[in-house]
Parts: sequence; C-alpha cells; structure tokens
Amino acid sequence: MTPEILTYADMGLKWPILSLLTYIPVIGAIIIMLFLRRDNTIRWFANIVVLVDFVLSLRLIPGFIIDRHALQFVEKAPWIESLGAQYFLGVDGISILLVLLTTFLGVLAVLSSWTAIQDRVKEYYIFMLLLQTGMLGVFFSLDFFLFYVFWEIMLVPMYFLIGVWGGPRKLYAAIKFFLYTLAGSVLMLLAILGLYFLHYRQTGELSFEVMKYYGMDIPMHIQRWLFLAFFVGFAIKVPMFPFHTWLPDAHVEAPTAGSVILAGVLLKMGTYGFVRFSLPLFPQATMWFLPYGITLAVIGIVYGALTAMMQPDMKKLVAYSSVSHLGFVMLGLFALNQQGVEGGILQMINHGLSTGGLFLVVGLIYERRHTRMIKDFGGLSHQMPLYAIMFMIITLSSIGLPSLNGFIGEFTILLGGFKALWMKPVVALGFLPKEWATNMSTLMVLLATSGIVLGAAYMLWMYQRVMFGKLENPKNMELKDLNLREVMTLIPIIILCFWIGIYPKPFLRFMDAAVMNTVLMTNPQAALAEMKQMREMQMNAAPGQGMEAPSGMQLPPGHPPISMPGQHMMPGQQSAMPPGHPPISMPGQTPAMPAGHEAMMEQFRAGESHGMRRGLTFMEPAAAGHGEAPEAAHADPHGHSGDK
Amino acid sequence: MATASEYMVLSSVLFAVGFVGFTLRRNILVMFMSAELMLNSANLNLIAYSTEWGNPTGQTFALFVIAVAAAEAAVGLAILMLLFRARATVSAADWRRLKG
Amino acid sequence: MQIPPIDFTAVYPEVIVALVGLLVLAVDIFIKPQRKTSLSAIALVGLVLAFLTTMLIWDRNETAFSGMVAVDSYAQFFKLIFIFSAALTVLISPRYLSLNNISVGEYLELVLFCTVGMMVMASANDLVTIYIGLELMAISIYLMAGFQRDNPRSCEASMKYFLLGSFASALLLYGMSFFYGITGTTSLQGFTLSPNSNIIDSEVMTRLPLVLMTVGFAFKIAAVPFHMWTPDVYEGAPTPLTAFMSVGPKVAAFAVIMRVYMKTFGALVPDWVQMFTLLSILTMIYGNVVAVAQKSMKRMLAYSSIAHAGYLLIGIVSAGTATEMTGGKAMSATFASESMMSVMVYLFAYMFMNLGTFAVVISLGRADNPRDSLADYAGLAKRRPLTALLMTILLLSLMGFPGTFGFIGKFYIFKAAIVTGNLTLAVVGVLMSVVAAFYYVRVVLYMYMREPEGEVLAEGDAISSTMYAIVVTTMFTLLFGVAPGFIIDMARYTIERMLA
Repeated sequence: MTPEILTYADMGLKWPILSLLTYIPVIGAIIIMLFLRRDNTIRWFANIVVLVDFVLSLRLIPGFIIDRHALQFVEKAPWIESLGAQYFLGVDGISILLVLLTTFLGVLAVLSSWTAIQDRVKEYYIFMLLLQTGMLGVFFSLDFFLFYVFWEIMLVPMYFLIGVWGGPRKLYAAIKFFLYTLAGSVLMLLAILGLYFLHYRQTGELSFEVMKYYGMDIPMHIQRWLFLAFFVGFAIKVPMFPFHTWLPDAHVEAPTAGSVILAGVLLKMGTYGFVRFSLPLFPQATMWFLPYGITLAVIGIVYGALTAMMQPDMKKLVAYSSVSHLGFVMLGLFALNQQGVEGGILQMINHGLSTGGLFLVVGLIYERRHTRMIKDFGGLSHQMPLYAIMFMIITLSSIGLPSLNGFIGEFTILLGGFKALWMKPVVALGFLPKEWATNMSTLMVLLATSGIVLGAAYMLWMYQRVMFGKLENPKNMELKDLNLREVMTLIPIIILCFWIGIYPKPFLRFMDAAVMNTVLMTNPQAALAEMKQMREMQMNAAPGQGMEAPSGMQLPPGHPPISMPGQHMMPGQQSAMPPGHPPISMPGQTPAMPAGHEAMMEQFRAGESHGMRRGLTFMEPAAAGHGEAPEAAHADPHGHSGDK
Repeated sequence: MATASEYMVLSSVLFAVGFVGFTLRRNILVMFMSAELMLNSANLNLIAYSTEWGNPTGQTFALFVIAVAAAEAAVGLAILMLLFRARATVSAADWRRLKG
Repeated sequence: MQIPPIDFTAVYPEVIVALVGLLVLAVDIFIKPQRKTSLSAIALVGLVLAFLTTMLIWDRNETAFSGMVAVDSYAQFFKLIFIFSAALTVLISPRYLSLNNISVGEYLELVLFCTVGMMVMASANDLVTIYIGLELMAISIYLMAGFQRDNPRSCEASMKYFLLGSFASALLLYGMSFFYGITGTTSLQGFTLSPNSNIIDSEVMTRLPLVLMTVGFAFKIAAVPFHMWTPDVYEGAPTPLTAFMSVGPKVAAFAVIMRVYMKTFGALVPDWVQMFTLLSILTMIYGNVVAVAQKSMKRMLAYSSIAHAGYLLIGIVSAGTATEMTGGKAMSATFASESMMSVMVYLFAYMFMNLGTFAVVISLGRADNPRDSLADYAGLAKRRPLTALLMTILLLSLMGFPGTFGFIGKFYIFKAAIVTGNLTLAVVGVLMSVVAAFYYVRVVLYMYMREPEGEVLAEGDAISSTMYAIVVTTMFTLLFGVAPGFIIDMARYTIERMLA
C-alpha cells in the first residue's frame, strides 16, 4: 500500500536533510530575534540563511531517484503516539520541484526586500524566515497531522507580512486573507479527522500517514463530503473561481516580497494539495466532481483574464492573471492523465517563476515611484532599457511564448486536456446529455485556449502602456535603471524561464514516476490506456527493448475499482492467472520490489480490465448512476466493527 | 397525616412562587427572598422524602442546606448593604453600569 | 451507633489548602502592610504542598467518608488544574491588588477557600458533597467579586452574580431533592430509571432531576441561554478574579458534569445528549458572534469563555453519543473515554491560555485606568514587544492554532465529535472557531499593525509577578502544544479508571 520509502540514511546522507532545510530558516529567525540588532547585519544574515537553505536544497537533486516512485530522504519518528501522529517528512517527484521553487524564490524575495523594507526590519526578516519554514514543512509533510500544523502555522507570518508592511488597506487585506484561509483549512481538518476515523475502523490502526489512506475503501456518499471539504480548503488557497476574492486584496496590499512568495509558493499549496491529497484519496468523488471542477477552472481562466484586462493597477493585474493561470493548472490536474497532471505541476513552477518575476518587476518600479498605476507611466523603456528587457522576457514567459517556460506548461496542459476529453467525453461533463458532452468538453478546452490569447492581450497591453510611447510624466524622467542587486534578483528567474522553455525534460523527468502513480490511483483508465499505447508503440518499434516511462511503476494495490483494499498481487503469481482475473487477495504484501518488465505488463493487463469495467460505469450514467456501481462494490464499512 | 405527594404539591407551589418572584420582581430583596423560598421548597421535599424512605439522608441534607443558606444570606445581605451605600436603591432596574 | 472511620489522608490536598487559607488570614493580622507580599509566598508554598499531596494520592481508587468522597485519579487530575489556576491567580494578583487597594490577606484566603470548594466538587461522590463544594466555591466568589467596595461596578457585579448564583443553586438543589425522592439515596451510584418507590413512579418524573440539575450546571458553566450573568460579572469583578473565575468554577462544573452524567445519569443518555447538543450549539454561536462586537478586552474574553464552554460541551455530547454507539461495547467505551479525555485536555489547555491572557490584561492596567479597551492595545508591540509576543501566542492558542496547547484541545474535541458522528456539532464548532479567529486576530492586529491614537499612557511596569505568570502560561501553552503526550496519557488513564 505504501510506496517505497527511502530514508536519508538509505540514500547515503548522514544528516536529516529535510529537517535541516525546514528548520534552518527558523533557527535563523531565532538568532535574529535574540542576537542581532543592526538593520544591515540582519539583512546580510537573513540573505545568507536563505541562500544556505537554497544551496542545501540543491543537494536533493543529485541523489534523487527518478526512475520509480519512491518517497525519498525520508525522516520518520513517532510524535504523539497515542494519536498515531508521526514526524514524517519526505519528498517525491511531486513535491521536489515545489521545494526547490520555494527555496529559490525565498532567496529572491529576501534579496529583493533589501531597500524596500525600512521599517521594523528585524521583525520583517523574522517573519520571512518563519514563512519559509512553514512552506517547506507543508511540502515535506507526509503525515496529515504534521501537514496541518505547518499548513496553519504558515498563515501567521504571512498575515503579519501583509498587515504590517502592506499598503493602505493592509489591515482589511490581512484579516481577509487570514479568515478565508482559516475557514477552508478548518473544514479540511474535519475531513482529515473523518479519514483518520475511517482508516481506524477499517484497519484498527491509528495513523495519520497520508500514504496509508491511499486506496482506502471509502463509500461514495462519504467520499463526496470529504472531497468537498478538502476541495474548499485547497480551492480557497489556489484560489479557484468563486473563492478567489481574497487574492487581489492580499496581493495588492502585500509588500513585494510577500506577493512574490504568495503567488510563487502559497498558491501552489492549494494545487499541490489537489495532486497529493484530493485526487488520489478520493478517486470516485473526483470523477463525480470533474465536470464542476473543470467548469470552475475554465471560468477562472476566462474571468481572471477578462478582469485583469480592466485593471488600472499593475499589481492587481498580475494578481488577476494569477487567477487565470491557476485555472490552467487546475484544468491540467483535472485532465487526470499523465500530460495534464505533469503540465499542471510544471505550470505551477512556471507560474511561480513568471508571476514571482512580475511581482518583483512591479515592485522595482513601485519602490522608485510609489505608484503602480499604469496611467502614471509610459515610455519607461527610454529611461530604463535594462529594466525594459527584463520586464519583456518575464512578460513573454507569463504569456507562454514558445521557447519560454509558460509555453511548455500550457501546451502540455492543453494536450492533456484534449486527450482526456476526447477519450472520455461523458466523464468530463456527466451532467449533460451524451451528444452534447463531446462538443461541450471541446468547448471547454477551446475556452481555456482563449485564456492564452486574452493573457497575451492584457500582458502586452500593459507592457505597451508602461514601456512604450513618450516619456511624458516628469516624475519618470528621473528614474534610474536597475542596479546590480536588482539585476541579480531577476537574472536567475530569466535563466530558469529559458531553461524550462527550451529543455524541459529534466524537470518533467523528476515527476514522471510520481505523477504516473497518482494518475493510476485516480484515473486508472487513462493511465492504463496510455500504457497500452506505449506498449504497442514499443512492440511495433523494437521488440525486446524495455519500456521507458512506466518502468518501475507499481499498480497501486487496492485502488478503487478493485474492491479489495489492502491487497497487492505478486507479479509472479499474477502471470499464472488468466488475464482479467481479479487479483487474489494477499493482504500485507507491499509493492516495494521493482518488478521485471514482463511481470509489470501482466500486472497492467490484469488491472486494465478492471479499469475498463469501472470506466464503463461512468460511461453510462443513465444505467448506473454516478458512482453507484463502485459504491456497491465496496464492502460496507459499518460492517467492520473495530476490535479495539 | 399528609402523604409525601401532598408535601410535593406544597413544595412545588413554594418553588413556583419563588421562581416567578425571582424572574418577575426587580427589587433585590424580594428576588433574594424568592431564591430562599426555592431553597426551602427543596428542603421540604428532602424532609418529606426522608420520612417516606425511612432514612435520615434527606434530613441531614436539609440541615446542610439550611446552614449554607444562612451563610449565603449573610454574604448576600452584606453585598446588598454595599450596593445600597453606593446607589441608595435596592432596585435591580437601576443598574446602569453593567449592560447585561 | 458506630461512627464510621474517617480517613483524612483521602482529603489531604483539600485540608492543606484550607489550612493555608486560615494561616494566611491569621498571619495577615500580625504582618505590617508593606510586607504583605509574604502572604502570597505562604499561599504559593501551601499550593505546592497541596500539589505534592495530590500526587501522593494520585493512584488511589476508592471512596472515603462513607462514600461521600471519591478518591480517584480523576479527582486528582482536576485538583491539579485547580491548584495550578489558584497558584497562577496568586501570581497575577499582587500588582492589581496594590494598584486598587485591595486587602491581600482576605483576598488570598478567599481564593484558597474557593479552591477548596472546587476540589471538593471534583472529588464529590454524593449530591451533598457536590452541593457543599459548589456553595463554598460560589460564596467565596460572591465576596471576591465585590472586593472593590468603593467601586459600584464591582458591587453590582457581585450582587448580580450572587442573585443568579443562588437562583441556579436553588434549581440544582430542587433537582437534587427529586433525585433523592426517586432513589432514596444521595449517592451518585444510586440513580435508577425504574424507581420502585411509591413516591415517584412516572417515567417523566425521573427526568425531572436531570433537567433541573442540567439548568443548574448550565448556569455554572455559563452556557447560553443561562449565561446572562457572565459578561457583567466578568467585567465588574477585579480582573485577577475574573481570570480565576473564568477558569475555576467552569472546570469544577465540568468535572462534576462528567462524573454525574456519565456515571449517574448513564441511563438517561439520549435525554441529556439532546439538551447538551442544543446548549452547545447555542453557546458556540452566541458566545463567538457577540464577542466580535466587544470593544473591551474583559468583555471580549468573557464572551470567548462562554464560547469555549460550547466547545467543551461538544466533548460531553460525544461522550454521551459514544455510549449509544453500535459496534461493540469495547469500542463505545473507548470512544466515550476518548471523548471525555478530550474535554479534560481542553480544560487543562483552557486554564493556561485563559489565565495567561487575563494576566496580560492585568499587566497593562494602571491605577487610574484599567486600559482594557481594544484601542489601548494599539501599538503595544512597539511599547512592550515581549508582552505583545506572548499575548499573540496565547491568543493563537485560544483560537486553536497548531503548535499551541489550544489546538491539541480543539483537535481532540473535534476528533471526538467526528468519531461519534456528531457532524453538525463539529461543523458548527469549526466555523465558529473561524469567527473566533476574527476577534482574537483583531487584538493581534491592534497590537502590531495599528498606531495608537492620541496621547499614550504608559502601561504598568513590565517586571512583576504578573509577568512571571504570563511567561509560565505561555511556556506551558507552547510546551504542551508541541509535546502533549504526557497530559493526554494522564487524562486517558484517569478517565479509564473512573469509568471502569
């Protein structure tokens, strides 16, 4: 049931690197609080701390195993034993890029605050560092209790960053941010408790371990509620369309570094939550929710883009563009296939880079002129050529120009979207008549594509109004171009934008195995179809050669369509059975061993027929009703009486 | 000899009078007396049941209640004196400082 | 007739606290006014002794005084809470007392006697004992609430508390008299649903003691709609006493409620679960919503303490529901004890964080100005950074934020609710804790993000025993927030032995 776990010691490290990464910032914050007094010392020190953190996080790359899904650099220790809560940190292909993004943007955000923050410097850096700890903790936690702790703790420093160093309406924005996010997360807490209880009833074991909840047998009516509770928590964070109203306020009022972190990392926690928790934990409920989810995502894309176009304030424009871009990410995730999810994750990174970059760029000009109104500017390219170039590149990256990162992300997402909708049109829009659905789902993707066009329009229009034309405003005559420190904050982003845009493979390879695993758990039908396709290609091309992508993949045992949780088949025994036979029950087996290709293919073949059978129940909603067939297949959990 | 249920009727009446007096009247002294009335209805119950059950628990309980009620009365009247000195009124309706 | 044997060792903690109370009173007569602080020292030493004796009899599991007093770990657990809260109250008081010219000796003596009352309640195994403990506690508080004799507000608070308190205990007592009528005994073990007496034989009548006693207890824990005394009394009473009374009587009442309702009224679970569900929902909603509108810290904390009673009632309801659960006796017993354990842990957390928060309010007060309005907190982070930081932590804990003890308490409460299927309560609870977050965070907002308006009066001196109390409570709040295992195991142990 649990994927392979490699502790940091297994991976040849002497020290718990994830804990170090997480706590270096907080230790730095404590040192600042207790020992440092002078503002400049504090600035230097904070920069060094985040830089050390970033450099250390690079250490995760060399040893990282990419050819199979495994939790790596794991630290596991009991924490509150009577509760089953553990101190359980680990990274896998889904989280590693986000972790790197966090430490990377952390460096830039702290560096960019050097001159921008003159008031209460000490507290500012303390909160920045605490925030970093919280964010890393969220991405590392593989125990729900620990996850929730970090998830909430992160709110406090962000609340202070907005509330103390923010703009004119900072108090309103800070409290709105705080309450919105809190409201979402308390509902999530209830859902976590619900899962915990279900897991306890089914296994008699008290545990908050996320991986143990995967493939759990949850009756559909409960699954829906749990999914919705998680959905609200994550959708507020993302933010998805109806829950987005806190975002523009928070972004506009937050200091530049706060906006960078907020857009770059905090929003990703919502989308990360979907990939890590919502989708694999509640596959049937995800299927049930898919039409609404995709609709909301598309509304978000179009609404965000249209609203962004109307904004007179550059920061607000970028904020609304975030709503649009995150809609893309959600669309990708809801495509529920390899391309879609990978594109979604890659687009999280891209959005972190380009929107983080945009906020930095806007912050630079705000620092000089103390205004962000587009109408106050014009013709800046004459005065600040270097700035204009940087701004241009980041704008183009945000738009998704080929050879820049945004293109890769959006392209992959749309690819995934088309594929998913083409493959299972009725699933995508189950509430519509069948014949409409194909058209409607194509329409959805087309609408989403229009978001790209609109995106290009509002970004370029803004760029044009700010940079080109005559330099008329006398106040703008005095503007200085970027200094070295400011260039230093933007260059790394630009390099990464080009890198991902031209050669994204190293980034995608990080997540291949993990995403495949997630897709397999959530939407085995799509995953298996893909594998089948791949197998055929491989057989046609060169018989005898091994498969590339899915090697080392494991069929998650007890994934929903197979109604026997907690079982996994041994590849050897599997091949002895006729194809399509349900796997025999072998409780307690762990799928940790890397299987041979032949055996793996047998496995897929066996799982495939189940996937298809389950797919059919979704294909014919009139006959079966949504989710009822899988529900019926589940053993009634109330029948399990706990034996404690 | 009256039966326990007759005593119960009497105690209920006492209790009802006390309850209504407490909730409707605004004179602190009257409210205080009403509360005492309620206590005594409980005492009456206890003693009647004690006889009926043939064990002394109820009567001892009643003794405790009387003692406690005396202490309570002493404290209550002391507070009332304080309040009267400060406000020169014994009407709860005149309480303005605390808004409730 | 033979006098039954009396085992005083069973009540050593109570005896010690009571004796120390008398000692303080006696020493007070002979001591010079400027050396009154030594009285606090005596009281603290006495409380430490009581703490040690409580630990000594920790493991005993029996009844004493002919079954009137239960000597079990459950009682000792609550005695620990009372001793802690009394000690913290002793710590936070001197500053306020000297500012307001309140006599230290009598004040401490009453605090200690009140503590005795609460301890008696926690170990009560008989209605008479409950009543005596309750009245001892209540009468001490009536007196303390009126301690500022020249302050009409204090007198009014005292009077109001007195009137409603005696009304509540009259209801309680009337209920107890029916209890006796039905069962012929006042022992908590004696209740039965099928009375065989010729006095009371109807089914309805057997519910009468339950209803009346519930109303009586609801007054004590300040559950809506029996809360109306709370804000006024909390506001009018001397602040250290407000702190004490927002914790002590509430904890004591919950100690009694859990014992009485789970053990004695075990047969009436469906009835009282309904009542408590209603009370809980009303209390959470009303307490939190009205707290939002408050401008005075004391009143805000008063309403917040009402709201906390609502969360605690969730735990009680869950315990009740658990006993009715299908799925095996062992499981329902586990869930029942888990639910009650959550209430005990929450009470422990509540004691630290609430006393700490009040201590902050006290530490900022001045002789001429209590400085307890929200606006007085503007810019506090600049004037008193440490106090503001500690206050923030305490408020986060009251909010139930992870990393603090308050979170552990809330977490267990909600876990109990989910596990026993009380979804409505859990959802109302978490949504209301978001509302609560608003008014707690607003204080943080004032402290860190607002500039004070007009001339700023300096707060009282930062270094005082009050400050120690703040630091201690915050430390415990954080410590048990990160490593709560000890308290949880302790609570679980006591509750399992009590229910067994």
